[in-house]
Amino acid sequence: MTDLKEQLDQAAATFAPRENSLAQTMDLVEKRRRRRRRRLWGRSGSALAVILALSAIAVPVLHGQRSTPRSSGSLPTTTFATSPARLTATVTAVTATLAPYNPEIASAGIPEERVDFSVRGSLGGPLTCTIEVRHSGILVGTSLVGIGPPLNGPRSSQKESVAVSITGKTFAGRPSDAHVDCHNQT
Amino acid sequence: MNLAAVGDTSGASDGFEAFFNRHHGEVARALFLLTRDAAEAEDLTQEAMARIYERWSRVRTMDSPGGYLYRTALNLHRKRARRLGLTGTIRLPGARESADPAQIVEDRSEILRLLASLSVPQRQVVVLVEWLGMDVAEVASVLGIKPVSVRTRLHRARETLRIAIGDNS
Repeated sequence: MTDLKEQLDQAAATFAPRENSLAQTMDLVEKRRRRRRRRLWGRSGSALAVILALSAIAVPVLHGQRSTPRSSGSLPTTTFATSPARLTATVTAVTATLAPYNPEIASAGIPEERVDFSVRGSLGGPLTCTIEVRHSGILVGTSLVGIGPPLNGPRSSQKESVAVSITGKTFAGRPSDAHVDCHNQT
Repeated sequence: MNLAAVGDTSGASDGFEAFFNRHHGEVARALFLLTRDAAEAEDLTQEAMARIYERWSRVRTMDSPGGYLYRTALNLHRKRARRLGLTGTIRLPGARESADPAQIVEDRSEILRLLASLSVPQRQVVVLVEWLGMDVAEVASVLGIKPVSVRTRLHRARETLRIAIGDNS
């Protein structure tokens, strides 16, 4: 074993490191730096996309829950003070129902939630109402309906009932599960 | 070499060039002994040096920046060997019977073949102790293992080499 060091020396001497190694190392440092910057940008870009996607989901959900609070004892109302043509709609009931059997759509009837609501305001002409139904805060059905003018002339309030097709199974809804937005067709 | 050209304007790389010139050749040769491959030794050395440069402001304040360089280089070597599936002992083909023992001693690559017959951890210990002349405590520090493990690896490696050299002669 005494000559091991010598043999290792001889073997190591057969290898001559490249000239200009420092410059090449600095090139490598620069490449690694650029690669890291690109990766960092890629990551932050992905993170930004995720944040945008989450906010796109979260904001409407939060907005929907806020405008129709479940904990509130009174019936939910939505008022749009900025638009005079818009009316106040109050949801009074949300009940599960099945549309008549239609073999082309569903074998056991089409799942629907019937939304009963009243509209208050200056009701003299036809109305347009947008109805959203949410189950556990998740939007399961929407409907846009046109309502004709009151039969007995202008009035200040009107009760309506609209069935909204939903995705998934029907559920025992509460008034806070629906959101109605009505305005005059002017 | 103008280090400012690679974005060093803060003087954070002060002393790196001297460090590089002092250690580069030795580390590259140590890696050559470990890998038996000049190109791979160059690549690993460059990678290790690049990593040291990126952490130079911290490394230069260490007690042994050279030790840290060896640790980085040997970790890279071990990782590459693991990736290539070379962590186990390599049994070389026994085509040595016909060779002249006198020629074998003269053959500089012979020791590399013998080193290659050791496992990667044993090879690293042999190069650090026998070639670089580090003591057991230094090697333990560089490899991040206990001194007793260094002694065990060294003993086994010497046994293997002794048997191999004895067989050959």
